[in-house]
Parts: sequence; C-alpha cells; structure tokens
Amino acid sequence: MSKHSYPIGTLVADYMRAACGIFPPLALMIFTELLPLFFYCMTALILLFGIYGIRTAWRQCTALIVDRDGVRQEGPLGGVLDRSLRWSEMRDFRLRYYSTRRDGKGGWMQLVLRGDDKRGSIQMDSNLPGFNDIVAQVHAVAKERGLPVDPASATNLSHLGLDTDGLNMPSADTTLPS
Amino acid sequence: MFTYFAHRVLVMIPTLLVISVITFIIIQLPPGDYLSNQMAEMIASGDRAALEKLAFLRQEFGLDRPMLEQYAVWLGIWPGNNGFSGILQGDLGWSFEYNLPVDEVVGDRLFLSLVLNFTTMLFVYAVSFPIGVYTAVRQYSIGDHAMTFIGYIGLATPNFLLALILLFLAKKHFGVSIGGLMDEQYIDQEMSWGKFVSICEHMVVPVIVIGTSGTAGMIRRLRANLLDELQKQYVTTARAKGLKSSRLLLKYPLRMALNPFVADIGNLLPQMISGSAIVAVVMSLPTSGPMLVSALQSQDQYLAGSFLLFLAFLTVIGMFVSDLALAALDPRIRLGSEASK
Repeated sequence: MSKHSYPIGTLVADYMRAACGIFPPLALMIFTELLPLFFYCMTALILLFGIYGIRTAWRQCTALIVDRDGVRQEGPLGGVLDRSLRWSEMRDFRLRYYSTRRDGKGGWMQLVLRGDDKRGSIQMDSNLPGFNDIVAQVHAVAKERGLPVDPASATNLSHLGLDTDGLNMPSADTTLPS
Repeated sequence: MFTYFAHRVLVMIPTLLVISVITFIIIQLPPGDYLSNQMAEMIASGDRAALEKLAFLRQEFGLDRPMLEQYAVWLGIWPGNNGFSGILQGDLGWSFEYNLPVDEVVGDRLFLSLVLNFTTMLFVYAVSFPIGVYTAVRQYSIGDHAMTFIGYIGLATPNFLLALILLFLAKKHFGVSIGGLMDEQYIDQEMSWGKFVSICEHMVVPVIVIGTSGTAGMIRRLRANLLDELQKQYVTTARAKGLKSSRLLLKYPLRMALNPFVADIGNLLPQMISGSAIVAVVMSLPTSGPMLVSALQSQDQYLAGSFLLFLAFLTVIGMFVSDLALAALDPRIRLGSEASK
C-alpha cells in the first residue's frame, strides 16, 4: 500500500495563480466603474479563480491511497466526498497531457479513473509524487482486463515508457466489424 | 481540462496587456502626434495663436503626460482629467482626425467588416472543404489535377490584383462599377431591406476576391493532411476489416486532418477585421481596414489604438479557442516534449 499527497511546494504556484486571477479584477471592480460587459467578465474571472483556489486547497488536503485492490481518495471532510475504486471495477481510464506553451513542453499529465458506477471519477495529475507508478499500475490492470484505451492515452503511456502492445486500442477497435 | 482552462486564461490576460502596451507605444514612436502635426501646418500658414491652442489641446487630451500614463488612462486603469474614463468604462477615446468619439467613428464600418469577412470565411470553408477532401481521396485524377492547377493560380494571384482585374472587366464589358459595398443612395442611411439586399448584391465580388487565396491555401493544406492520414496503417486495417469508405474517412482520417484547421482559428478572428485592408482600398469598401491604415498614417492614436487593441483581443481569443479545441480533440504529448514534470 502506498499513500500519495500533493506536496505544498507544487501547490504554491497554483495558489499564486488563484490570487492573480482574483485580486486584480476585484481591485478594478472596487476602484473603478466598469462597463457592464467588463463587470461581468471580471466577475466570471473571480468565480473561475475562486473555484481554482478552492480546488487547490482541496487537493492540498487530499490523499490518494493505492494498494493491490484499488485506489482510494480521502478528502478533508471526514469521508463525505471520499471516493474509492477497485481495480476490478475500473471501466476505463484517460491519460491526458496539457501544456500552455506553444512547443508543448513544460506541461502536465492528468489521469482520470472511472468505475462501473456513476459516482464520479478519481483524478490526479503528474505533480503527485509516485504518479508514474500509479499510471504503471493502471496500465497493467488495463492490459490484464482488456479495457479500451483511446489513442491519446496510448500515446501518452508510450511516452512514459509503458508498452502499448496488447492494449485494447480503438484504432482497430470495437466499432469496426470483425 | 479545468486546470488547463484556468492556466490558459491566466496566460491570456497578461499577453493581451503586453500586446496592447506595445501597440500603443509603437503608434507613438514617430516624432510628434496628430495635434502637433496639425499645428505645424497652422503655424506655417501664419496662425500665431496656434502654439497656445496646441498647448491647451495637448493638456485637454492628456497628450502632455508620459506615454505609459496615457496608455493607463486610455485603458481606464488610471484616473485622467475626468476620473476613470477609458476602455474598461466604455470610452474608447477621441478621434482627432474625425473630431468625434472613436465608437461613433468606428460604428458601421466594424459591423460591415465583420459581415464581409465572416461571409468570406464561410465561402472559404464551404468551397475548400469538399474540394480538399475530393482531391485527397481521388489523388492524381483529372479532377485533382484541375483543382490543383486552379489552386496554384489562386495562391499566386494577389487579391488586390484580382480586384483590379474584375473592376476593369466589369466596367469594360458590362459598364458597371462593382466597387463599394452598397448602392450610393444607401450610404449613411439606416439599415433597411433595400440596403440589406444592396449589400448582399455588392458582397459577391469582394467575397470571391478576398476568399480566393484563402480557399486555394486551405485546399492544399487539407489535401496534404488528409493524404498523410490516408496512408497510415490504421486506415489499411480498417479497410481490410471491411469498413465502408465514407464512414472510415469521416470517423478517423478527416478528424485527424482537421487539427491544423482548428489551430488556424486564432488567425481567422483578427482577419475578420483587418484581413481585407488592401482590397477594401482598391474596391472602395467602407470597412475598417482603410480606416485603420489612415489612422496609423495620421497618428490618430486613440482610433488606431482601439482598432489594434481589438485586433489583439481577437487574436488572443482566437488562440485561446483553438488551444482549448486542440486540447479537447487531441490531448497527446508531442514528440520531444517532457513526459511529465
């Protein structure tokens, strides 16, 4: 069993982003009389980065516990919004890569795990220590159970050094007649 | 995706500010300003009170302040003579050349530019998409060769030259002037059904003239991208499994070939305002392009600055939309980039 949580060092930049997205628009709204269009834009920005800040704080207080049976996400509300997923119940997963730079560098990966029920998904990103190990475990489960893997996830898996042979790939996929 | 969205928004705002600061500074780089140029002419014609008048007007319009302060006042993040009164408060500034508020000067022209260039964009997509797909699927057929030939001509012919040729031919053979964007009796009139019909009639030629090179370029790009995709192994696999050609084409290769089109959205939005400036001059179109050129030439700084800020805004929004669409369509790590942090 391993326990993973986001170190504060990786979240500082996110807190700063939230502050940059909230305080300048707020100052403009307080000190100047904005055109209604810009007022709504600033309100939207404050809401967006408010949610972003809350989400960052949530991530700071959340831990992911991974073992041989599955993965469990434990939040700060004493089990109210906790989620768990057994490997045997995993329906599919997505491994995405995002970067805001034009050359595609300096980005981050996001892993989304979904189960049979519709109680939501478990998400984590590559800032989480041990992320590559979790992806490797998900990859092994997907291979063993023949879970469908979309092309983007397969490409990202291969960039993490994981073998995509034997995965259930949609390019030769279930939508094609056999 | 939410994190990406938030990061991308946060990148967009300083980008927009930096672009607008740079454009405002560049407009002011030539020595003097609109007022001093005008006053120089008045002094040369013997008007002795011109210097006092110049000083008064410069103070009135805040032109005696440092450049960055002028910018901040114009943007509405710094108090000017009338408190906070800038773009964020809905005041685009004063056009010295037209002696009117900028929003009144821009008025219809911006709308007509949007209509003309949006119609051109639809024309480009409507024509280039089926032709691009056809030439890729029927590579080296007679149709492909014919379309490729026409495409090369379209790429090699400057828009303004095509405009001049069409103006000449229309005058010589039909005796009509195809310049302008509406009949003379509708200029400066309120929008009416007659004016709308007149605009639609006059728009056909400008749309073809402006859209020709874009259409040719897009056909070439779509053909090349689609050919690349059609030669990949998954297409062979799908064919071997008996998938219908049309379904195969639409489901996989065409979707992948669309990525460059999505990435192009960033360039399309600003083109909708400024993309047809030279053609507009040649064909006497009452769009925003010629006004922007004129404002830049005469250093009508608030008018030019408003246009350029709007263009920068459209560029940044366009890039934002295309980046979001690309991230949603194809969230793959690219070769050579880091696997993870």
